Amino acid sequence: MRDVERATPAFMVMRSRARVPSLGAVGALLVSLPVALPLGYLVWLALGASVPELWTGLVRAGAGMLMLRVALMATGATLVAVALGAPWAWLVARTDVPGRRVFGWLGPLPLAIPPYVGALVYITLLAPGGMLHTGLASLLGRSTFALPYPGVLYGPVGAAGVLGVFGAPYVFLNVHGALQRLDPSLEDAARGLGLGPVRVFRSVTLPLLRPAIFAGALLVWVYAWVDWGVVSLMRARTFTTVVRTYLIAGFSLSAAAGLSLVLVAIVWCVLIVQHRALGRARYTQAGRGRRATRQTSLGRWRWLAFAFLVLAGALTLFIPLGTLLAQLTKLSISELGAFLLGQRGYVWNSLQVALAGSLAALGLACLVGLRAWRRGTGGPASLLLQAGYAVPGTVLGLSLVGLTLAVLPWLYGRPVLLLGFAYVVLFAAPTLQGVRAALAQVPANMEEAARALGRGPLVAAVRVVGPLAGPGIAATWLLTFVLCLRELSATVILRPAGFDTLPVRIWAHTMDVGPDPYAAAVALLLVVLVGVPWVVLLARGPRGVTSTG
Amino acid sequence: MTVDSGTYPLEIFGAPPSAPHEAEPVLELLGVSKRFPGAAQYAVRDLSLSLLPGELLAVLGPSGCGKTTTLRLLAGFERPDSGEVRVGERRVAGGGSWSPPERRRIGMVFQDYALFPHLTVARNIAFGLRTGTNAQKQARIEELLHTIGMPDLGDRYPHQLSGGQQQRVALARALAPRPEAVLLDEPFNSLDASGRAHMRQEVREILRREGAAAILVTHDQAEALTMADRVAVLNEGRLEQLSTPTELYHAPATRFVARFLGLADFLPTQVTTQKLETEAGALPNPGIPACARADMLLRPEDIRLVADAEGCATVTAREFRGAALTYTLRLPCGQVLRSERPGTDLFELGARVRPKLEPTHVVLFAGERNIAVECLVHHCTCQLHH
Repeated sequence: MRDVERATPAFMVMRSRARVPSLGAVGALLVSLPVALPLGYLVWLALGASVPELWTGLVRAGAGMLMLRVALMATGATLVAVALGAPWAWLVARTDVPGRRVFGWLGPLPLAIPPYVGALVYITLLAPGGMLHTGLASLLGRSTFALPYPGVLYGPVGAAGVLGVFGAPYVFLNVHGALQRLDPSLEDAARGLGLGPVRVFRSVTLPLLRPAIFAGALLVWVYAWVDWGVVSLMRARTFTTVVRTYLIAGFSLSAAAGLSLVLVAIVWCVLIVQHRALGRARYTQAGRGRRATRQTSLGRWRWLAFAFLVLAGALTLFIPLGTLLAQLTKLSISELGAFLLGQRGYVWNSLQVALAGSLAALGLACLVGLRAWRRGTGGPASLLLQAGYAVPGTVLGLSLVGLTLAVLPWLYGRPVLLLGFAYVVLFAAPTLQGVRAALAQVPANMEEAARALGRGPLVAAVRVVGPLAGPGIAATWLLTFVLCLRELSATVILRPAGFDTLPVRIWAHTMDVGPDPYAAAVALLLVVLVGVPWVVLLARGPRGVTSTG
Repeated sequence: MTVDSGTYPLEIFGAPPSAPHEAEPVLELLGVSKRFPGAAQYAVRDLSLSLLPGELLAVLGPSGCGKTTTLRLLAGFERPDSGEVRVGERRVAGGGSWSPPERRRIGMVFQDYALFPHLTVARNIAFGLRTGTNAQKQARIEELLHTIGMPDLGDRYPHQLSGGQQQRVALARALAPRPEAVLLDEPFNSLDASGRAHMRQEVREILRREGAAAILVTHDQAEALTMADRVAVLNEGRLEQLSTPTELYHAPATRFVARFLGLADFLPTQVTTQKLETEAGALPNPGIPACARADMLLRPEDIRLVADAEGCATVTAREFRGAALTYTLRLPCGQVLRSERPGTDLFELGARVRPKLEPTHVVLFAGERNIAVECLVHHCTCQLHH
């Protein structure tokens, strides 16, 4: 989704017109079958019902009202995310706010906390009988205490809040990246033309940042539509929860498919709009040699800004981690040890499927990416993979369950294959994007130089392209691995009975048992598993960031 | 259509010195055409070229003339739509056969050198050495490092080298597997002016020492004229002329070639049996058949200026070039002529002058093409031969 920013410069497209013989268009289409197949099946399912039938199905599900409500919830989440993420990025990048280094480093970290873990945290904290209530009760010397906000936490408002808080890093990363690429001489020029700092911010900096804010906001907005983990835990009704209810209750599959297709269509429309809107103009200017920018002095606003950062950090990072840790203290060491030991099967399951999915996605991305790199354009395969990325996990789960049961029931008992396949469909696009970014670092004629020296394409790829793009490709794999590790919505539908991954355990604990300390323990385990690679990635500097959970 | 030496009325410029016509070409394009998908125009059209052993052939033309495509067709990075590419006896493209770049034994030096940044100089040079023992490979690397004058820099990485050094490493790397020929794609583009002049000599010398035939693609006419044994001038994908630098300059086959190599003015001329009459004066006819209307090619050095208040030309511009001055003159009918004079020959802007035409030989054009080349001065043949 962020390839707008690393659009290949025209001269590279010209140069890499080389048509070194390769897979061929047929091969490229073959590798994009994983995406085409489930989508095609979904259409086929929907077509199984007659049009009036489909229509009544949609009406009965209240699709119109649902759409409006989800749109409202998504907009609310987006507003929260922008309000937290954009000022955070600007403050640490361009002002003298205290602690700007630390907060700059912390900005992208909340992405290590999957949003459904965030939901778990805020339920633990705020639900009736939760930590806040009991804490306040004991403080006031009463046996129980209830805050006067019935129904706010559970429902669209709570869901929007959680989605917004944990979507804030996407806005942060987009805006922070844009601020770093922004040529400071543009702002200097405005100062030179006699504009004060406030007017420079309003008339130069902000307009130049608008696309980045817009891009980050759209990520959050779309995520709210496709998310299933948070909304199901927060008991908000959206397309994904309705589709899943249909699936579980055994209602007509075609109605669920129809609803899914509506959702897919909405997401695609948004992504196309984003691509059009951002693709047209160039906003970032690559300044030669990044000069240190003049910091805006905040004066007496410094400590207010600092307080804002602390609040934002608390909402996205400190409170979640603190709550999970506080929950842990309710368990004795031996209890915790025994429990964690009992989880090793789920850890192994998670690692297995994440490894299979990420490696397969990487292989596919490398095939398509190499071809795109040689030709200078993505071609139909890239487009199809992009389309797969925009399929919500719930929808993909639905279509794959139907597909495997109808065509290849054997596959249903092979979770590593089935989930790996689903992860390929879901994450091939961000993986491809990372691979292409890594390959873009390699001049197009490197391969030609190797070929002209008498080396075949394989040797050229292994000895020249591989080493040069290697670090970027490794980072891409790590990112995909993390995305697979925390995937919930498709996994929960596709896993065979008894094959649970960590995200599924967390969700089940929270849903069935309630926010008990054991849920917090699994959540922390996952946060560590996701967080360690994420910190490694961040140490290399933030790159492609994606939002499908 | 190919215009090669020998089709002129008089062979005053002789054959290329180092190009025995009997020699087998090492590299050959035969009627090659290439059009990119979606492009309206051919990138290369019906192009035939051959590279002789030990020769340095320059492919010269403005940007977009198809010269880089020509190189990529030879190297195997593009497939021709029609025509053939041959390496020695071997057909590598066309007529149903196709050899990928790695099977062509053609070295390539890229415009930006394309040195492998993760390999040392020595390992860059070694990259194409596939056969032989390690000792033989080592010997070849040392030999080349010596040839390019960098015997101690084998352990450096490309980013630790200057532009000129990188260039020499790129050349050594291309030469290492002893290819049939080396292709150089605008190799001096990324060097500054002084480095460029130096590297031209250097590259010529390295190629000579290795005995390698090479094709040099360039848009810089000075580069082509000073370095090459023969020059192929390309325009819009077609070959305009293929001959020695001297002949290209003095007997251009087309107006395009005349304009592209040096300054050229075309003066309308009436050819009678005795005289060649122009607005700026007349010349004796050295034996060109009479015709009503032709254009005479005049180079700035062909025109002397005489101060004359009654003169037919006006000085409209003066360009100072250090040792010389270039004047722009306007004739009464509006025709513009340029004249290069020594720095001591001073005329003011607006001054009336009388141009004196003193070409060593007459080149006449009708339409786009050259119709006659005739010597005026008796000894000019000898001058041009050497």
